[in-house]
Amino acid sequence: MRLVVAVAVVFLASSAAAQDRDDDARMVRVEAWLKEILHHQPGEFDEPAERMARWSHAELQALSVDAITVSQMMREVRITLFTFRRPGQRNPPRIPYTSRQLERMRLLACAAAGIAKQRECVQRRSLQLLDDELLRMNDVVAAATEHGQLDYMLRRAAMLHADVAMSSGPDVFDSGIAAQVVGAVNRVTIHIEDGRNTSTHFGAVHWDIARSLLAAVRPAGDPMVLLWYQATAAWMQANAYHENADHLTEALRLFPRDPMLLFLSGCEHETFARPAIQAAVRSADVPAGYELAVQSDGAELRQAGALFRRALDRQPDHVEARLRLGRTLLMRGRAREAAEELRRANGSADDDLTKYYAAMFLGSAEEALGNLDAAEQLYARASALYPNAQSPHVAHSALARRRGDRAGAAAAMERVFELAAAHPGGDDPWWTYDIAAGRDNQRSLDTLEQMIAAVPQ
Amino acid sequence: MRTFLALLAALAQAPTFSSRVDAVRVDVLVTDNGKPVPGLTRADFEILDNGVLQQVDVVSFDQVPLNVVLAFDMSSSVEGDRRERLLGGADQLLAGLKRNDQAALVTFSHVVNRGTKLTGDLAAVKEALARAEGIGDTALVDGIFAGIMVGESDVGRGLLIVFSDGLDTSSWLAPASVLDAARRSGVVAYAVSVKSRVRPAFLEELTSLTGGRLFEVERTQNLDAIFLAVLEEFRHRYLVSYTPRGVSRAGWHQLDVRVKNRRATVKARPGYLAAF
Repeated sequence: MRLVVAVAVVFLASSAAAQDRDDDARMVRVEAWLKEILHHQPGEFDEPAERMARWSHAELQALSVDAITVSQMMREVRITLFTFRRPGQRNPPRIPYTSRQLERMRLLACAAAGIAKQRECVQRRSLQLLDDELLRMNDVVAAATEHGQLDYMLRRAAMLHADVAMSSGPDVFDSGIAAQVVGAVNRVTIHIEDGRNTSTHFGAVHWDIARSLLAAVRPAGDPMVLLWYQATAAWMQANAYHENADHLTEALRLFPRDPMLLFLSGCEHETFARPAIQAAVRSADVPAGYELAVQSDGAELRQAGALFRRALDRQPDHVEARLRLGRTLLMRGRAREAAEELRRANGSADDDLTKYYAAMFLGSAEEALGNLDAAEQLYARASALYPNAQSPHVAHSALARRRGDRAGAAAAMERVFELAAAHPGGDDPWWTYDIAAGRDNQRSLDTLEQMIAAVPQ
Repeated sequence: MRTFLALLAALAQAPTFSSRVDAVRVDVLVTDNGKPVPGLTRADFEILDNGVLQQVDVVSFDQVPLNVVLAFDMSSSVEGDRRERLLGGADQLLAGLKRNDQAALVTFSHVVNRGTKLTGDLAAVKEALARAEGIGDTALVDGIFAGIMVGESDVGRGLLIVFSDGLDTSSWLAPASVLDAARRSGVVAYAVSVKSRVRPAFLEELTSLTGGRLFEVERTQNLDAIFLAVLEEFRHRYLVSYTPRGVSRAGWHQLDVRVKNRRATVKARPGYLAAF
């Protein structure tokens, strides 16, 4: 399975940054971006999304800074000093805008906030200096605000960047060099295949832009923002894309008690404990200054287990959180506690996939406790649920061998070989366990799109 | 010839580590300054089973046919040149087998596949290997378990030759459970692992506890020479058989194999589990 882990650092300053100061093109891009947001149909990889996907690495970097500036101006048009403090950053850089750039961004912020026709913006000649399209944007945003949808453009912008990121895949944005835009995040993507770091690139910052904009959305605890994080975090898990915990760290900062986000965060840490990630991290070529925040497998499993417990505290009937809590306990050698959790999960699982995992993990826990008959029955049950899966037969063979049943062990292994011959690519849910946790992401994304579409324009 | 047949019959009737038959076989490599020492007889060996001196029943040298199981990583990390060199090395190894030897092929990506059963038809093994493609993740631990099972599926001396980059990314079985199976098996495992920043701990332990050897290579250019060296070394091993006396049957048996009255380095499995 192919995985991507992305880590980020903030570019602070260099002489190259001065080149941006008189760059009108930068403001032209901000304007184009706002228009793409307006025209983008959430959930689609339409023409606006395609055009955004073609932006260069450096252009997106500049946008990641300017988008935050615009969002701050949407609150307070007169603001003049811009510094961005990113998580873990001690000395936030000051963004070196020219007065001309600032004035243009104030006008753009007027339109994006739906206040271009209000006095403060009119005094800045908004009605003369904004084109028809931007004035139409202003009207759309004003109407949305009237219907209670605050920060309409920020929400739609987050949807646009998520759609670009989800539709394009991380490879599209690969760049060999870091961009040098003051205040911007440089995100390094580490591609992992079969436990090896196969390539390292500087990637796009679509997710960073989306997160920084949603951080400014009012009111706190907004349901659309929550759903956006739930849907996109599930998508990331389902697509083996991990922004090295940044995504879920921010999600849990905003929604610390949401059981789904706690669950998905647990799943990410559980994934980080897997041999494929652990091995790749130890051999990864990461540029100086970047750090992969992946701990040892034991530490990741502990953290995963703690997050699953928090999810269960909030939602005791979350079967999959209980299943995965049981597995983390099993992996940590706490078979008795694991078996308790897994028995409960096994008893309440209501879909075949969860039943399969529950049967396999509980079988393993029962084996660890010496309950070999129970383990054998559970492996048989898993096999009945997914007849083409190899793992139940591998487990059965090893169990039979342990019991001294040579014929049983050989027969089970023979079945493994038969399945491999009949299904060369394989068909075993165990192989997709990591990504399975995000399998319902499309449902969440659909709900999110409906929520956005429900806002009148 | 008659001796040879008699020995085979005896071995067939007394499968190693069976719960019903007590005979124990141990593959032993005896070297002096790195060179195999030929011509030893049972009078030259001394075996201690859990510290109790045993009487050696039979010693054979290059007489019992080999059951060579190739357990090859065919995951995406083995695609391209590495795969080609692996196929070339396997060709050389198969060409080095003798008339009554058998070979089998187990490949593993995330899927564990048996290319061929143990067979004397070495062309069939080559054909199966040529069909294998590098794709997917690596179920190294599951693959080695399958290799041990195939190695035990027929009488003869089981030699498991593993090739992998040493990284397991998708096995169901835990390494400990397969190491436990290896302790109960008479199969000797040799492994060739491509060096990386990650220590191949599982292969180190597997080869150590079965009395085999791990070769860590920087590159795969010399796989054919390594495979032939494995075969050569294995052929120079003695198969020492004894019936345990004065020790309880169950549990772990610590083995200490020595050669009497001469300077020699002895390499053998450090012990065995009696059941199965």
